[in-house]
Amino acid sequence: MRTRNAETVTDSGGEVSVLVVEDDAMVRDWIRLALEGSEFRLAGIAHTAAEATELVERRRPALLLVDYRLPDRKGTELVRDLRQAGKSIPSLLMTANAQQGFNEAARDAGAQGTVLKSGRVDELLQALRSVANGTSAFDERHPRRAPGRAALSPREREVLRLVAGGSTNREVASTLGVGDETVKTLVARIFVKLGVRRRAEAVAEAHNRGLL
Amino acid sequence: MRSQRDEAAEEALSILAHELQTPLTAIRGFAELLHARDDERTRREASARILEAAERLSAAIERLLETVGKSDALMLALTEVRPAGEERE
Repeated sequence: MRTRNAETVTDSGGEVSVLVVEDDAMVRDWIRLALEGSEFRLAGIAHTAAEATELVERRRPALLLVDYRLPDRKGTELVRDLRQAGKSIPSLLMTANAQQGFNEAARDAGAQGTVLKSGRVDELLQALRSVANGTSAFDERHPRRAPGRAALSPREREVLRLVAGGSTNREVASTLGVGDETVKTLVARIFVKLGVRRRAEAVAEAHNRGLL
Repeated sequence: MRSQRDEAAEEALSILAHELQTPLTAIRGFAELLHARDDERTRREASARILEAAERLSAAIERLLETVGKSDALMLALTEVRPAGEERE
């Protein structure tokens, strides 16, 4: 049985429920048609990250298929927010074109894969299958991140979060229970990895990459 | 280190690529479905979406050409571009 309205589509014939987060009507309709007849069923369609957060709660999908450019947030930010809220749903991030460092950004956010919106049904289904089976599926057409832009360690990310909240090095040291010198070293490492020279730039760049 | 101008240019290029790629993806995707399936609903929906995507792509190209035409720097850069296969003197 199939029910449908402006917000959600449900098809009980499939096996793996997928929540699609995509703001473009044309792409949404293609994905809906592409999934028909496969083992995947639509748990719902969200147009924004805010809608997705709500639908995740209500529909409890097995997988997320998320566009990177959403009107209210980046797809990487949505995946990270959901993970931080304790909802670690396997996620596949989509982009219209190949972007340098996108696989690393997606991995940093906690996604299990990336797929280019190439219009090929087999590519989309293959990527969804890999993620559903617990293996990663990062599209190799995204060029690797430039050297010097490596991922942040959990400790570095913690420091960056405190810096973004306005903490001084001394306050960060006190919060984390480490020495001032350790914080200085961690901040210097963050600058190198993000390719920046100032704290404000580091925070802006981290937001840009969906690290915060 | 990348300057703010580099980042702004990268972002603008990424948006432009997205504007052009999305309808192209739709055309390719719906054409593939049209080719692979022969039910009436897919035929109707896919063909309507292909036409719609072609219109959208055409409008995006028109906007792009208008923008390029207004910029001396871009017009100058275009004099360096030749169609694939055309010999440079």
